[in-house]
Amino acid sequence: MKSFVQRGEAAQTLKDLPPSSRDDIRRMAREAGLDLPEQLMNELCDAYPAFEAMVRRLPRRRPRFDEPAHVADVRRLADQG
Amino acid sequence: MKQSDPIEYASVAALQKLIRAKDVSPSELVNALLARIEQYEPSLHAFVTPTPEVALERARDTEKRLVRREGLRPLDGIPYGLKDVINTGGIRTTGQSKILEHNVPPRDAFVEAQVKAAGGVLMGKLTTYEFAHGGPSWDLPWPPAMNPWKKGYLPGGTSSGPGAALAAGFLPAAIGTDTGGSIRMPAASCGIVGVKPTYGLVSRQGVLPNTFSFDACGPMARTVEDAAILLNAMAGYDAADISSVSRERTDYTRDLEGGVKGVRIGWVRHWYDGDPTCHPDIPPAMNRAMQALESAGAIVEEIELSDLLTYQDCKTTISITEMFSAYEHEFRTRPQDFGTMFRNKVLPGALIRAEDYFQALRQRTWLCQELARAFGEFDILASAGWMTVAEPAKPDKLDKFLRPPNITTPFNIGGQPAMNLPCGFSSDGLPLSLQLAARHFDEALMFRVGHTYQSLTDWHTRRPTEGLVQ
Repeated sequence: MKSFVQRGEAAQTLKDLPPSSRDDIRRMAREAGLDLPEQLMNELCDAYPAFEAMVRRLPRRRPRFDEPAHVADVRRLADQG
Repeated sequence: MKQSDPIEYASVAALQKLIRAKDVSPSELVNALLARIEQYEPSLHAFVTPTPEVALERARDTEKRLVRREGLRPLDGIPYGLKDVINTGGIRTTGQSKILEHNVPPRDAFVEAQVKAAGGVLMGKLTTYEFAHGGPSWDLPWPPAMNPWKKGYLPGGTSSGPGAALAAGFLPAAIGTDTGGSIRMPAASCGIVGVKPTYGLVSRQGVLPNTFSFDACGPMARTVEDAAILLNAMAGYDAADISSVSRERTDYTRDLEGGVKGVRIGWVRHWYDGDPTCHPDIPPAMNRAMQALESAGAIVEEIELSDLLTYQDCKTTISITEMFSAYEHEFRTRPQDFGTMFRNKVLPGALIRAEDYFQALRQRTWLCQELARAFGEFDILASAGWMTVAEPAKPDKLDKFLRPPNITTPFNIGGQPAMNLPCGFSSDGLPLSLQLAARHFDEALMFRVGHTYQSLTDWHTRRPTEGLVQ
């Protein structure tokens, strides 16, 4: 079977970091300026760990010149004004 | 159209001929569909806002053209529906959210303007998940759509209303949106055709944002040919959409009969075969689909790409960050007015760090290059269209915060056109689906392969009965 997967050093991740506690999540939410009712803050504390684990699976150690998939076409942006 | 098809299930291609020949009047067609909607809509909830007056007015416009012997436009008299995240001037557009419950946009989205100008007859605004994300939810102002194939089952999402409406024979055409598979998943679940065009081919202007980096508007229909007809009307450059790409117009119906001889298909079997979440009836159906294309002359070869979780982690990190930014004001001022599901799946975006978002964007480059290498050797990539069949509705059970990876997401990452079409039925009678993807802007080849497959099989001609409850 032909493979197109490029394996390399970028596979280094943050997945071994300990998960944030509920207190950590509350602190992060406050620092993000979120002023949530208690019920909604509890929802966020329940939901966030799955997303934190996801983000920590992202490859980290990339060649310095690896570009993000984002280019601002400044002429097009200006045209929209 | 099959000889046995009633008018409610006539294809767009058949209706074009019938209307031109004056064998069917657009008003009669609209009235027949309205009667069917009245019969089954109470149990299916496919519509947020039906627009019967608009439909009849536009149908009469087509009739006047016929009387005056004016040339008919490509979609004259063809009924369609819009997922309710697509702005319609003077007609409520809610995003299925309490946040926009009474929102009436001043003007049409670009894509609606295109389809209206082509003569399309708007039947209504169709059900979605809140802002085309998360769901299904039972704590929104409108109930979720249900699947015509089985009572109490869901049509998939987030273009759930379009999927249900097409399968139920409410309309022959619809327009949905797809950020991670939201056109293709309901297509799979409802036994219809759903197309995510190349990113930038169809304008997103006037479409409520989910994820700016991935959002695409696409056609949904019951045949590949109909989807190609719709895309002809939808595609076009729009300077007001930064992602819009200026290209020469293509007639997507032109090469449909060209066959698949010599077409190189890369079969991404490992994405589903052997995955514990994959429904057991899917791999055998896919084997038969690949054999059918091979017997028609395609060259099929198994290939390996990165696993779906790698694609999903990249996509979801980008998505929830962008989506939180799009709805940040409402999250800060009235977070309780979002449904629980949407809140649970988007509010964590507030805690994603800038460096995480940018590492996901760099990962996207990596994955785009992987797909480009594969498309350097293959004309089409094929996989199952969905990992499972339609699922039962569970109003009392909150969905998981993150579901198993979607098999549709890689082509949102890569921006290629991708399409789901029916390829069989499970042992309990629920539709199964085949996904085909092509190189950027090569929708014509993707339609040609899909149309060839539909000429070899009859899965797309089967109609639901069990979930159609009066």
